Amino acid sequence: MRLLAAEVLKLRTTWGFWVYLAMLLVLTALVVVGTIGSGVGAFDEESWRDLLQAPLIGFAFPLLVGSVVVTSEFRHGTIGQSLLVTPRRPLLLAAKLAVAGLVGLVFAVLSFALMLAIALPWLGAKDVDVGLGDPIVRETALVVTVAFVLLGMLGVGVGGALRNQAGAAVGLLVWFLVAEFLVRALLGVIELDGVARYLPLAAMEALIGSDDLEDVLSQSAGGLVLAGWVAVAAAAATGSLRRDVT
Amino acid sequence: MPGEPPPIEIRGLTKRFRRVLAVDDLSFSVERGRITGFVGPNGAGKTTTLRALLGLVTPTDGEALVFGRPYQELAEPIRQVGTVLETSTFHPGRSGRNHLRTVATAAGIQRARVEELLELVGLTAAAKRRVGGYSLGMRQRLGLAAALLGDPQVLVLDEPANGLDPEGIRWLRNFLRRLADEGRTILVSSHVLAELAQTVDDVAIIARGRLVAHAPVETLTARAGGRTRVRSPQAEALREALAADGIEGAPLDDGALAVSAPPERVGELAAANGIVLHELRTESSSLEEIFLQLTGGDAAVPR
Ligand SMILES: Nc1ncnc2c1ncn2[C@@H]1O[C@H](COP(=O)(O)OP(=O)(O)OP(=O)(O)O)[C@@H](O)[C@H]1O
Ligand SMILES: [Mg+2]
Repeated sequence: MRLLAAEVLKLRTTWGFWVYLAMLLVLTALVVVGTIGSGVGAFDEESWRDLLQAPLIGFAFPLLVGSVVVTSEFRHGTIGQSLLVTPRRPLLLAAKLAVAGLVGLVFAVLSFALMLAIALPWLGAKDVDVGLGDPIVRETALVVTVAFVLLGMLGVGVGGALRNQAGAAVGLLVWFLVAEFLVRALLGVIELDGVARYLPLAAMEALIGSDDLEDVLSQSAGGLVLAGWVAVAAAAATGSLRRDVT
Repeated sequence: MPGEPPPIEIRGLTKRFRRVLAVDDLSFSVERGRITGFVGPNGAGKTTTLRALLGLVTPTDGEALVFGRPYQELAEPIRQVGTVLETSTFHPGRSGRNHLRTVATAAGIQRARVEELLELVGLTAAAKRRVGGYSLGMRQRLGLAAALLGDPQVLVLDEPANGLDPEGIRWLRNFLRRLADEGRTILVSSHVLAELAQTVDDVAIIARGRLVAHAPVETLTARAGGRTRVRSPQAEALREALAADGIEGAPLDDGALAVSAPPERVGELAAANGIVLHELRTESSSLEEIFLQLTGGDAAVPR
């Protein structure tokens, strides 16, 4: 508990965390405004779902915060101090995984709340009949939260495995924005398409119920596969953190 | 007490980084309540030894123990051992106070203790400022504050005098002395023996990863010939008085004499002969000389 409180304090007392949160909220607001404002046609089921999923535009931020939770310590040498207080490295890693999960949760709640705060009054004024009671609201909130929590923890795993701040951030962004698509294409070429849906981004897409990909997993399977990637990354981080800190 | 493990014990410690043998079968222990200077030229393996002691580096062979146990196995490490590492351990964007608070929170230490330490190291006024804007001396003080948060009985300090001006070094000396007078055990490293000579009780000298000497300062001084530096406006009279007692006095460039007798003796003789002294002290360069001798001068690059 102490450790968790200390990790939260470490985050609160650095700029990065607040900048990422602000960027997430700004992006979410922009998507909401775009979705409702540009609504030329009728506001249908589809637009409603897009609106609810607006926070996902910022899916990179829990990832980045998660990685920074570890890599910032190596970048600034605070890891030395942290390990003096908590010499058992797996314990420190566990605290970081937990705090990144917490960040994911907070990010999801805040961005989802912001989306509703903008959308509900606005749609009300436009006489569009949407209700909070709609089960899709609760479902999407849950899915966004699970995704952000897992992404935060995935960031910690990758950050711990690589230790390097720029390396981890760039690596994560490149994978999720570019590389996975290339790998999917490659898998297609060698006729292993079936494997593609187990990749991290594909798993996340499955989790949020996107239908961009053929052959997607079910939502719960997507969540499980993403959690599997978290476990893989955390294991890699455990190994990497065992190395000397000099 | 027989059977009680020493606060710090290094046993056959060896650390190899790929091709570099940084620490080579090093053994020594530090006695309770004493300040031990851990001295050696750059690259001698001091930092590596201390990091192995603190569980940051895994030994290739041997062990480094605190109260007879590996650091990782201490129940409340920072309440038992306070540490200042050589490299910065601060996030530049965090304030000094918040840095201490993160450490205190993780260790379950009261917030009030943070304020106490800020006061003790004289950083209260700067506590709100970002560490990124601190001077080197302020960072060293902040590091010491962090080391003392848990009120530990053992202190491990890696080059705490680095970057301090003479005023700061004096402050540090007094500070360490005070901590030792409270009964704490201190292991403090430096690559300048003279910097520590006045403060420490014992000296462990390391070169190329190996221990070359471990003894009380006085023993080392004695081994260095116990040269005394004395300056008097009556230099000739002093030389004669010394010579009459069979003591040689060699004139130095600045008019002082280098005498191969302890300062007490020289002072007594001068007093007996009514000779005025302007300066009388143990020549610290002799310590420096023995240090260079023991560590092999400049050829200090490990294999
Ligand atoms: N992580 C590392 N990888 C490779 N070599 C290392 C590493 N850390 C230290 N060394 C090497 O080990 C040797 C001992 O280094 P160490 O830092 O322990 O010396 P030191 O006595 O603390 O020196 P200084 O007075 O300069 O601080 C040096 O040759 C150094 O280059
Ligand atoms: Mg060093």
